[in-house]
Amino acid sequence: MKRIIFFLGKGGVGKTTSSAALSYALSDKDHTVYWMSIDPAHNISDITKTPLKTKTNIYKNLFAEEIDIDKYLKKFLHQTTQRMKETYKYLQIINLEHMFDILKHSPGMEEYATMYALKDKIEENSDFEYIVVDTPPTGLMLKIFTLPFSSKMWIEKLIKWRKMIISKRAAIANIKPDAIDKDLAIAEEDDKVLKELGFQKEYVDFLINILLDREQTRIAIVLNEDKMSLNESKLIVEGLEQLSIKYDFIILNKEGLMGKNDEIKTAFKDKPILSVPFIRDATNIESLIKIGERFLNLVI
Amino acid sequence: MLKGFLNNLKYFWEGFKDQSTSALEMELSELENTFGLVVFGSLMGLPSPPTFVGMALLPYLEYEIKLMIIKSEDLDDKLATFFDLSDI
Repeated sequence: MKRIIFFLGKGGVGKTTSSAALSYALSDKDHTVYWMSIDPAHNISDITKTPLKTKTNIYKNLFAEEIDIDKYLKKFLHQTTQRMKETYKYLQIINLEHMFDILKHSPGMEEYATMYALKDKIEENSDFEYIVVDTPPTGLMLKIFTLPFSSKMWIEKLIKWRKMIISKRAAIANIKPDAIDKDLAIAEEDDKVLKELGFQKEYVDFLINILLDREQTRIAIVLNEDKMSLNESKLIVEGLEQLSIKYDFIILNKEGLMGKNDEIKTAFKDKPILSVPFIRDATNIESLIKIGERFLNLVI
Repeated sequence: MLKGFLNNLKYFWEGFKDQSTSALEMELSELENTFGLVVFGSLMGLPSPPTFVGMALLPYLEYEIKLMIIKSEDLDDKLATFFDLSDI
């Protein structure tokens, strides 16, 4: 993978259209492109007019997919249920699947599943030159971006704590072997908790590295000329700054409809602002390519 | 007589080992208990790691959960715990 490009912005500003324009334009220049949507309310198939439940070739070397976040959530819950059944034998009689189903709605689970899906899909499609990501609106997207950073803090603390427990167990077992159950007095590399924490750390590190990689990653913020989308874009920039993530350019979509873009030019004066006119038919590939060509030099 | 002496030495040695590990064992059980409390802290309103971290660890923390339950049962008898700790 040469580059991964994220499109962020308020709902309805044209993230999908902009990501479509770039994907088609890159593909038209004979690059291999994987265009995915991680928005639970997908709409890239509205542009392609083909179902995108699986990775589908839609144009030259352009493949598109709408990621089924729910599927990832179910997969995670199913794996946990199986492991629970293997460890806690007496749970065989209880319908764990049903109990875990409720956890689907726990806070943070949707963000987690999206993070899990994002890592999985980036790895699976790393042989493409470009990966273009259409994201959910601001609120959810900032949570998804924050999750790897906040989880990393917890995971690192837990790893340290666990290592202390393992070393204390070993010390006691060394002096008085009977005092510790032999299943507990094990080496760090055999401890399943530590192994699982290592797994989780790998996940979050992978995404943190991608988000902070100034060479490989490009982040575009899409907005319109109205006050609300400008304010929300400022919130995105603040949210990203807190995580030390830098954005690369602004796409001023539907330019000319309201004609009030002076404030926008002042607010984002240190980054390139690309103006894109309102397009009546976002399904027209030729007009999408024409628009996408304007972003190419910032991405290639 | 020598046998008796050796036996006494053995008991002395065992007692010595018991004493040397009891403080460590106490510290370990507190570490294990709090590890469980931190992972599943959300159950009682403590700040806790994201739900998925707790869920991913849940299958492997049977021992720590049992320990947490035993410790929480003893919470209302702090005096006994203190006497136990002080070896009174």
